[in-house]
Amino acid sequence: MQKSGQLRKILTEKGIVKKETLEDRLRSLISSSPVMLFMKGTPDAPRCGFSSKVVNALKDEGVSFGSFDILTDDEVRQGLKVFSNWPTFPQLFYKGELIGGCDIVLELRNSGELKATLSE
Amino acid sequence: MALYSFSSARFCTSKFPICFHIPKPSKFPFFSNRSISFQKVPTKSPLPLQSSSTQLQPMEEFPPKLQEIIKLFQSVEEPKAKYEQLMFYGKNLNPLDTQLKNKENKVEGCVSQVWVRAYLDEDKNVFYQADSDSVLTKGLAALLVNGLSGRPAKEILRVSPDFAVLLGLQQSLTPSRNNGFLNMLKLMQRKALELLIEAEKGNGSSGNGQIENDNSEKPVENSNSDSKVDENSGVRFGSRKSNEDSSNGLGGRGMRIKEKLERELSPIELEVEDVSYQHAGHAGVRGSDGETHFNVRIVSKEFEGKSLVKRHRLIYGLLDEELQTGLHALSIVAKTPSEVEAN
Repeated sequence: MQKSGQLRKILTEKGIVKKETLEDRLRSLISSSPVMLFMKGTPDAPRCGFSSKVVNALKDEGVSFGSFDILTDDEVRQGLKVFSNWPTFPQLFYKGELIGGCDIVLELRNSGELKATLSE
Repeated sequence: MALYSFSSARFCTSKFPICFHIPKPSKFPFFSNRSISFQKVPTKSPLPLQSSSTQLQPMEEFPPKLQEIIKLFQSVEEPKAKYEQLMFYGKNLNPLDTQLKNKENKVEGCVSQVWVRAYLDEDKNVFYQADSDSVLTKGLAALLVNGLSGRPAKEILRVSPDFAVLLGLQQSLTPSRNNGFLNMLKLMQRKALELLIEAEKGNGSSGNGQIENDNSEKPVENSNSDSKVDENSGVRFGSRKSNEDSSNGLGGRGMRIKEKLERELSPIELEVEDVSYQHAGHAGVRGSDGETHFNVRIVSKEFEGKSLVKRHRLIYGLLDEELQTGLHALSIVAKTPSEVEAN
């Protein structure tokens, strides 16, 4: 039961194990992939011009990345802003650390540093 | 001209796109008496209209043909039909001479390739020609060409980009198409201004207000959705570097942003630009009074030794209050003086 997560669920419901805090959840989301993008929409269907630019920059550089659509989860949307101390989306993380938003990603790409930054 | 009646010829549905190829265009109510060509057409007196919305620019100020086009699009509510109307315009747009498809005439920031050319006739009215490699953008260009041609430059310059909202095309067009449309309008207005200035220079009269160059590398003019383009104020284009601030047309929030950044970072260069209109129709803008999206370019010593993230965080921190009260997005270029010199 433990493997399927059912054990945790039942224990949580019974109040025996602490509910995952938002912070824990954010941390695990951020580290779910070495390069992690929090964006509006999905890489195949971005819902925002800035998010779309970041997706294109990453694809152009051949960087594989995980993504999370913040439009689907308002808790993450608001929580992440506080957690990373960054008020806007998209937000790109590498190895758990905030790289920046659209402007920064594009600037790194223009100076040829994007790929290097995302693989050191 | 009375409102078009649609009883006799409805907008064709997708099943019969060929209805747009009926050889007698006069049968279509929306093209009666008007052909899409670039000859001088006798201009009609301005239509007696009620303005459709109070915050946007009043209809009477738009060129008459543009008004007709707006009304046409407003009376057709189905996005699909509007789309097809655009396609029709596009198909009927006369192609542009290849020689005229040069860099000067190219619309920047457009997904497809679009060229616009402007010239004056003997009465100093501006006429446009345009072309594009995609039918849809041809349609958008044709819409503008038809709406703005044959009018004095000043009238064209007064048209605020808001009118795009009146067309109700936002849902049918992707954000980049909407953006391209606005850039087309800008290029056309810029060309109108250039023609006007050249003409007035030729007459020996003084130019039409100052032209200031600014730092912006983007082909976007600094216009606030709430203000009209005033000919006596500086109109911006070009990408030469200068140390002037572009504070023209900034509303309350824009000014506050500027002041805060100036106070806290003592920049040697600062430029704040309200580009909210580019995002009209976006969830962050709806229900606000504009001033939701800004471009900021700032050069300051305070950024030395700081990573990009730290610089942006610094700026976000200073503007935290604005971000909590409706500022939705900031595009930031933050450099140190030495970085700027290196370029």
